[in-house]
Amino acid sequence: MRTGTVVCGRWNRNVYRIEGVAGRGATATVYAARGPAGRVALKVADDEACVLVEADMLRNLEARGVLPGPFLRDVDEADIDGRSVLFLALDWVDGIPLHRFPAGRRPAVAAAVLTQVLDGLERLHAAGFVFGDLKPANVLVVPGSLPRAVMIDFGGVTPRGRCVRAHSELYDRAAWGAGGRVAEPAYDLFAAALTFLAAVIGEAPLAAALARPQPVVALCDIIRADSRLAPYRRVLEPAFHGRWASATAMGRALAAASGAGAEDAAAWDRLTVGLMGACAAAAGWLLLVSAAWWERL
Amino acid sequence: MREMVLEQILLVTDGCSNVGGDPVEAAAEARQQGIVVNVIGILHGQALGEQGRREAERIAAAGGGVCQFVQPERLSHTVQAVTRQAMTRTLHAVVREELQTLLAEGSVADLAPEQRARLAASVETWAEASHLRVFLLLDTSASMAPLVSTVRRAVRDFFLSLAARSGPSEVAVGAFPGVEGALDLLVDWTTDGSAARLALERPPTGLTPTAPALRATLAHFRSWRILGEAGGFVALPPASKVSADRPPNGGLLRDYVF
Repeated sequence: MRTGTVVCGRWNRNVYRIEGVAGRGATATVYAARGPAGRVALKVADDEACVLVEADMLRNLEARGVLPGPFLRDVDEADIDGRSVLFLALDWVDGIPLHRFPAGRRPAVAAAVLTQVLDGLERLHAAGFVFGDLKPANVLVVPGSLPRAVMIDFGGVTPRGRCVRAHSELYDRAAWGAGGRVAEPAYDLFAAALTFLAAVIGEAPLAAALARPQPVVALCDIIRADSRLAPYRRVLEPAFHGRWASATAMGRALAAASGAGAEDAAAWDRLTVGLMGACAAAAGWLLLVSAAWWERL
Repeated sequence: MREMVLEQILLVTDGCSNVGGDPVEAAAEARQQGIVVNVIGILHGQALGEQGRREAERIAAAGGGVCQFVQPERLSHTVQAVTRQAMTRTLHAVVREELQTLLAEGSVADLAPEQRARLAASVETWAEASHLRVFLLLDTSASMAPLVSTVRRAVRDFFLSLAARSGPSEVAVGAFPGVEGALDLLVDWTTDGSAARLALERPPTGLTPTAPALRATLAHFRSWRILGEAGGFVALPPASKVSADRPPNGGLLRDYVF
């Protein structure tokens, strides 16, 4: 669908004007569109059954109050190119995907995002669901003095104990040989750790590690080789080995690691202050000496 | 809900059959026996021409299954997507049938999307828990040779997904043309084949005997069914018994496969 195309819902009679493509997935294409109540993300289904189940899941999560948003505003069908097509309208989130958010390369910022992701996961897990398709492209960052992270694309959300509904190979622990594809909290925590890592070092080193015969070992080697990641080793490595009991436990370790990182930063600040003080003292002393010299003349 | 065995053949090919008769007829035979035939056409080079595409679509149509064309790098995902789509389609057909007996008028398509979403969720739950049996039928003719590692990865990935299902699943893997016959069985029915080593490197041949390979696959399904019954396995009875006495619980899967 091109910009300017008008989509009319057959059942609920809402009209949406397409403003551009926001993303393309395996089961649907997401468009930015203008609807009766403002901007929405219009998810147009290729695989109808799959998107219908996602709609049901979103309604279910909303009813339990598990989701902080984006909310599902409309489920309808429209005739597009002579074909009846199912679509969902979701709240538009004005954010940048984590992998394209430049500040996300700083471990402290990525950690702040991960903290929020873990909060969201904990809520889902407590309600008996697993997010499934967690990756930087599905975490939007709303920039600000404190960047806000919003998880999008609930097409992978799966009731605990079933086969994960949707996954991306690079973030799938089964592909890494680190466990099965059964929906359980550890599945999400593995993907969360990789999402953090991808934000900081990019996806290319991860893809290279995945191609190695022992991918998880290669992953741990990457972390050990990068001094910026040192404080986060104790958060990431247990996630790769499925050792965190819950998102909360991992979040607590992350808070401790971020605190350690912040202390390092504080130490640097003290040094800077000290140096500046020394400079000021030296300048003052020079001024006094020159003034005294001037007096003597 | 009643015990249900979903049986599928998934044909993975990159070209057109050129020997051994019409695969569309073989697919129709499968469908008569309650086995759905899905087709994945791999797009690479010039192998899958217009003729190959048309044939793939006709095989899937005759076999009551799903047909998709993909670039090699999407193969893993597509194998799972096609299997799942075919399962839900079959189960939706059962639901449709049941609804038609309940409601004199109206069909599922007349339901509002919100209601259909609820229906789709329960069908998916049902599909996840049901008994699945898939025969992966891999074309290993000369043009597929560069794709051996891609196919191997996709098969391994498929096993990983099936291992995570809550319902029981069995998979067998066959390659055609066989070294001697129409089909070589690489992995016999198994619940976990992720460690199986697939001998996909075969002597190069330009022959693609799709129809004989499909028939050999059907014969393999039949042998399983008879063995299964002998071993007290709850499987669909052989085709001959069905017309004779319809079970009282409302019919068998093959009656619903469309």
